[in-house]
Amino acid sequence: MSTTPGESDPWPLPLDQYVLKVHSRCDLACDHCYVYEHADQSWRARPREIAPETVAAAAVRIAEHAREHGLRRVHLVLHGGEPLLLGVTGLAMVLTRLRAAIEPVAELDLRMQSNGVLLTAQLCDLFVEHGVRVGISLDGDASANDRHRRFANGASSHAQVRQALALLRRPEYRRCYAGILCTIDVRNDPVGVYRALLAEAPPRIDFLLPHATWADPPPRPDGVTSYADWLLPIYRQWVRDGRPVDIRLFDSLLATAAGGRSGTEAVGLDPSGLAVIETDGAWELADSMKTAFDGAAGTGLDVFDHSANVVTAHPEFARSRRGLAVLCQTCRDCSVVGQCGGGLRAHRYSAAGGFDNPSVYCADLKKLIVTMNRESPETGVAAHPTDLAGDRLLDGLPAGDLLDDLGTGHGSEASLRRLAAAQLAYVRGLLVQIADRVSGTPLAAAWELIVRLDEEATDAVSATFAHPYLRRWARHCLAPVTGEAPDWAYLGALAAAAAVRAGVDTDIEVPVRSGLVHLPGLGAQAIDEPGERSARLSIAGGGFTARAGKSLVTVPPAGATPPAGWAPVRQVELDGWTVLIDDIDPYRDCYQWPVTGRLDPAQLTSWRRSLAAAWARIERTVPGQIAGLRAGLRTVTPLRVDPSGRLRSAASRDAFGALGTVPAAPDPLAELLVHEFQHVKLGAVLDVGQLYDPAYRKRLTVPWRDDPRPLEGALQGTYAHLAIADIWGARPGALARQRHRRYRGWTVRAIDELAGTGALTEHGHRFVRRMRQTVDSWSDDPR
Amino acid sequence: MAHAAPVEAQQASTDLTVLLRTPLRQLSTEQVRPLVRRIVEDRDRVEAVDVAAFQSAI
Repeated sequence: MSTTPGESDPWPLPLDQYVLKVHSRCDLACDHCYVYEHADQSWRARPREIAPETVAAAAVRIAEHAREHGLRRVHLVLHGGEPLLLGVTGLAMVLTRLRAAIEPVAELDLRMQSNGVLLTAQLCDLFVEHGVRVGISLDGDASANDRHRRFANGASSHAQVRQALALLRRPEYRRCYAGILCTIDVRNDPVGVYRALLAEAPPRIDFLLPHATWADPPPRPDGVTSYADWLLPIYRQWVRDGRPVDIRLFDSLLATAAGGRSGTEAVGLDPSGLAVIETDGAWELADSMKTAFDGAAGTGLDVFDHSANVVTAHPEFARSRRGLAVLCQTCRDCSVVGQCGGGLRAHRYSAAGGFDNPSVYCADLKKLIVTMNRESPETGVAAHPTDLAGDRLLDGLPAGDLLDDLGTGHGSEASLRRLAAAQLAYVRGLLVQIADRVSGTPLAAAWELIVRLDEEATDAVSATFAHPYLRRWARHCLAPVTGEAPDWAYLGALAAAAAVRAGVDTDIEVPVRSGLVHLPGLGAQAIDEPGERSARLSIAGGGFTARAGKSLVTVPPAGATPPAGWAPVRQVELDGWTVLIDDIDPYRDCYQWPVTGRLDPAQLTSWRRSLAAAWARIERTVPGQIAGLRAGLRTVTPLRVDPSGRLRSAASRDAFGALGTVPAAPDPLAELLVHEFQHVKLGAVLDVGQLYDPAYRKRLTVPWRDDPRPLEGALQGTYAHLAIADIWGARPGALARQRHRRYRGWTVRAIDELAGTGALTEHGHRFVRRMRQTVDSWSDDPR
Repeated sequence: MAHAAPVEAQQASTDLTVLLRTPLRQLSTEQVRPLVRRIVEDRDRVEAVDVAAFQSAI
């Protein structure tokens, strides 16, 4: 292409998905194939097979990119042409080299997309060995499939493809079965196609709109929405069937309706981090671009001379990464753009307008989305035409009053309780996912206890789930850091904590970590039995007895004298309410600053005095913060003091209701508490609502830091400084006036910067506008 | 895989409400999948670029 590297987005997202072309030819001659039958003909000049040195260079580029960007996981799809044409030996070479280079750096998720014709047991053994999951292309039953998927001599491929699918269904190979890719032909009976695909028992089905452009539009025998009209009967049947299989297009649209990621480049606004590496080592844009014009996917870069960083800086690559900014005005104004995302970029191409058009499938996508939203099986998402507009936040929280209330920099008890309820719902959802992962293991007993208590002692379970650091544990389980094993056993600790709170009698296995049995939110009991990894808890009447090896210790209910090894989560009374001082939870170390160990009695006394004094200052200077803090701040975790004496404080998006701070004098500690609680509140708002375009990549200049900040960071900083300016405005003296003016000025400048990005959603504008109104309402000369 | 949430929960206005009101035993992984994606996977990206956003500027 004519574009030049290095003149685009200075902060591009890293690549985490690669398509590696290992063979550029195919044993079928499908007449709808974009590689051979559409505009781009670059395959003619490519090597048939990828060379070992090309694989090695690609692997090195992928690994170095993952290392530089700290990527935990890299997704790689072996593709063609037909990748199986490389044979067992060739594929073994490719897989061995890729794994050797990449796996020391990041987890490697290996996939292959194939027509299946050449699949054998020997190849499946290879895929089991290397953990490759295979997707097979199939367009339906024999008549549907044979419309296009034929050999060069016209013979049907259907029987051979079904043999491949039967092979993948065998128990020893089932783990390699990724799913079926079906290219739509609207002449086929939709439900018949769905039934034929379902009969192959795939883990997932993906329906692909046939690649087309405004220059070469798709056939529409049944009118302008032929493709929506073809997909909707399948959607309805799928819902009636109880959604027996993942269907990516539908799952993606349902996920985006609920504010989630689409997980595909076909729909949604999520930035795409995908690049293609051809058999000659050329870096290319997404394969679908080949349908636009000859050379449309090209970058002029290759793995031998150009790193992945150079690829991400390529302007054409930046333009292909989705998001509102790259869409035409028609799309930007559309009510469903948050779900559609303008469809595939290639489908927007016209000879006259380039890519500055809606998709050639615009009418189909809009009808499909609007109808699915209206008929959604997920209840209320139907009420939300898009997450970029409307009068409600995600999850159904009314947006107007919540944003207007929190946008003042304060926050009512009602607003904080609503945010807390959303967080409780999230913890419940995460636990359901964890329960699915431990199903069939001994930990299923812990889940069974939790679900029983959820029915019999709902309040105790809700109180247990409100513990701020649970979400961090749950996330750690579902997306563990490379090299760290998920801590599934902690589910037992959670169940035990709920049972203790509920006062029920039960027995349960719990983990022992560093000699401690943790009951999240309650405390920890030391187990004097070195080497024991688990203990048996007999819970009765709000207390428990722990047995591990020869160790036996009883912790009585609260109020009675505990044994020496019991370390409860302690608290401080603050003028009629209490805050926990959590210095023992195993998941509290979630801040960028290190946490302290267990406070000794003198330190605890000092902390209690400091927090009480800081609270008194908050009550006196910023009474508008009191209701929100009382309703939303549950836990303070002590942080280690900076050796240089600099104040430290932090909040974590995964720990609603908690903050970390160092001890400080009353005024600065009040400031730290309010500052971090701003981050807690805004983090919870961002959990339930889209305030800005997630694809916006430019960084903003903010007055309080030298380095440009991502939009969310600038928004968080602005919200924090709004509250800090408020505090200084209420303090007496010249220094306070000076600081108030400084922080107020910073807040105003940042608000203007945010408002000028063009990336704020309707909700984001409302929130930022409210912040500005708040600043404007302040007296010019406080005290 | 069928949605087991009670009818009254299904008719409630939001996913969130369903998650709060439906007994855990009756919640399916299908129902929570979009939420888990949003909380677990989406955060990876934001936190990767924004961890310092929470750093105190005081």
